[in-house]
Amino acid sequence: MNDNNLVEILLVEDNPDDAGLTIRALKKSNLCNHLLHLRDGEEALSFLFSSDPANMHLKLILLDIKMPKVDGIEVLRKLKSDPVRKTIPVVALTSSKEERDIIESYQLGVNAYIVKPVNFDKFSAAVSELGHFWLGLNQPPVKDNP
Amino acid sequence: MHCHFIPELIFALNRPAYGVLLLSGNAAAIILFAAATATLVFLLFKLYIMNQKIRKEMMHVRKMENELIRVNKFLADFRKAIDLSNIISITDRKGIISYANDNFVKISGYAREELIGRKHSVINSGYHSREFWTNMWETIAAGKSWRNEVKNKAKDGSYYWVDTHIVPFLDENGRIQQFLSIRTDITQRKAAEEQLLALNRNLELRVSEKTKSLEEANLELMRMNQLMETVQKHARIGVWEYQVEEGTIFWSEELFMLYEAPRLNHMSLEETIRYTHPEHQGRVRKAIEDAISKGEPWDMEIKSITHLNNEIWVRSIGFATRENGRTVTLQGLAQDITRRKNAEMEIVTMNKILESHSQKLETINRELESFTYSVSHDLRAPLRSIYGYSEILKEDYESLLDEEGKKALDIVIRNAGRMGRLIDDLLEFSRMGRKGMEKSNVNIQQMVENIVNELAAHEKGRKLNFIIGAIEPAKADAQMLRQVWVNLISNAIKYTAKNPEPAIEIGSTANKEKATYFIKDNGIGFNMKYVGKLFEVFQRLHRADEFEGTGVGLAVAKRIVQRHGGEIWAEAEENKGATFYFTLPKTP
Repeated sequence: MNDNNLVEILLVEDNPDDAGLTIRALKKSNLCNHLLHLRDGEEALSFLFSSDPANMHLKLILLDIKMPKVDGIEVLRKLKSDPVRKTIPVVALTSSKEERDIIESYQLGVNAYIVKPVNFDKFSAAVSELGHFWLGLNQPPVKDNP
Repeated sequence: MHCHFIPELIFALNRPAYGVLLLSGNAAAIILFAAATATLVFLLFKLYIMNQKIRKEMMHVRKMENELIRVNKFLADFRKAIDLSNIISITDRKGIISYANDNFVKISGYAREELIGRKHSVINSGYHSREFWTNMWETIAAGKSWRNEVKNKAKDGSYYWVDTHIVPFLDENGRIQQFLSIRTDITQRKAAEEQLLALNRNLELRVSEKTKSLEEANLELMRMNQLMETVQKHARIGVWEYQVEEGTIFWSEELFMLYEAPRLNHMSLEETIRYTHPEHQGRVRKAIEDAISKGEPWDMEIKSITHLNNEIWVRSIGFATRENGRTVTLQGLAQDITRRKNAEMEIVTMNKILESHSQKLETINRELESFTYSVSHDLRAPLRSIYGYSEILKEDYESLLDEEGKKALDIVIRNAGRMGRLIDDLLEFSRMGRKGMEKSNVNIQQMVENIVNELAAHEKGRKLNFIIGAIEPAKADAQMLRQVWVNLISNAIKYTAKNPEPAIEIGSTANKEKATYFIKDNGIGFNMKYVGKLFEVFQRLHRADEFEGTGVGLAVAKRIVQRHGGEIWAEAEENKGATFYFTLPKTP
């Protein structure tokens, strides 16, 4: 078992400052023990498709939409069209309030879409809430091969 | 009787002479006897001569007498004939009737006794003028006969016409003895004449009427002609006719003008086709062929070349007149439509320009959209960092800062937050302009009550009094309309903050065309002189430290209402409150 298999939260975010804020918010909620931060869609895809999903403990992907190289929409499309990996909950965490991004994301099967608030308090609250929800409250589907 | 008188006289004379001879005797007596005998013979002879003379005279008298008898009979016959055939009367010098014949009695209807001794004026009809009678009297008094046609009146009041001839009878001294009037009845002729006259008059009238109407028709025709000419000239329409069999062509004046062509009396069809632009000659030939062979009409716009080589556009209309299944004539018109055509082409050009403009506009819109998108994303990201890390600074390192430093940090945080709101609102405003609308029947009553409840929940410390009347439903984009109400109601809540007893009234009125919604508050209000700025982006009538806000809410509301085809306005008074109105059309 490599380290990747221990990852519970995957944060895909090109902006390191935003990533910093997200990680801090998660930390404050004690949710960042097994967090991996990747900086674009390409990195995310190679991570997700390089390891056997059977061995992954990934409980949540926080995905930025607008990223260089491969964007979040593309990552979402690949992920959700994969018969096994499509069950991994994905929350779009983005600055974009654009309707077309929101609609497309939902059409592709995003589990939630969060617009990052400018206000840090709200931001922290939002991240903390969704972390708790997806990692704590949400019941993931039972894996075929535990 | 007289004829026996003469032989008796001769016998009486012979007897005494013979007695004297017997009384005297002898010689002397013989001589005496002889002398007496000679004298006797002489006397007898003389007597014989005389007798002969008398006899001759008597014969003459008898002849005369016979002649007289014959004349008398002739006169009597003559008079009888005249009497029978004419109306005769005789009057004295003063005009008093002394004789009237049967015809007179008959025609006048008066008995003879009624006429005799009276003046002729008894039968006067009053038809003729005074001059007429004066002339008569003057003529006959001068001893001349007078003749005229006279209208008389019978006893029963009917009229009759007579051809009257009055002849004065004079004595040896030339003085008038009496007048003879000979009349013939011409009533029938007169009636016929009058009828004829009336007929003539009627005919004349009809002829003159006919002439008049003909003249009028002629005038009308001339006017029509003139009108046609004028119309042709102004409409730049020329007419033509083509006799198929003869191959002759008639062009109206305007047509020559249209084609700037010399006035030729004889033109062939080919010559006229040559005025068509080569590009369109094929179409024209085909149209003519079809009209001749099948009687099909045509109406088309063709490019033409005038005699002076100017390019014009012509609307050509042609139609065939057929007899026994064969086209006899083609008739039609040509109208100069160059100006219209040029205008059309200009429109086409303009449209192309417009199209390219709208394409550019579309490009610009797309650019704007992507700009908005990048603002949405890129501008918010650094702002979030400024805000977030300032917060971190405050949380983790506030103890290291003095009061001045803390204050500065707070200002950074506050303004970053404000900028975030500005950007969000601006994006919202732009989104409301671009967003597609999905209209449905919206229960606005329900919508308003929900919003009021939600918003009031955030204002727990305040005692807000909402009066919600009946509110008209509408056909609208529910999400967008909700935004309008949220903005207006939150405004009302916000601007009544300083009133200890805030009251907000919401309601609507409606007519066939539209529903008018209102929201009235007793808040701070505003000065109506600034009302123009009210609905503009980032325009605020209150300072930020008085009332929070970015100045976008009303601009968003206005944009949404306008997109629904409605209007929005406000009435207010400073420190007394404001009322906002907006309308939504009933048939959107």
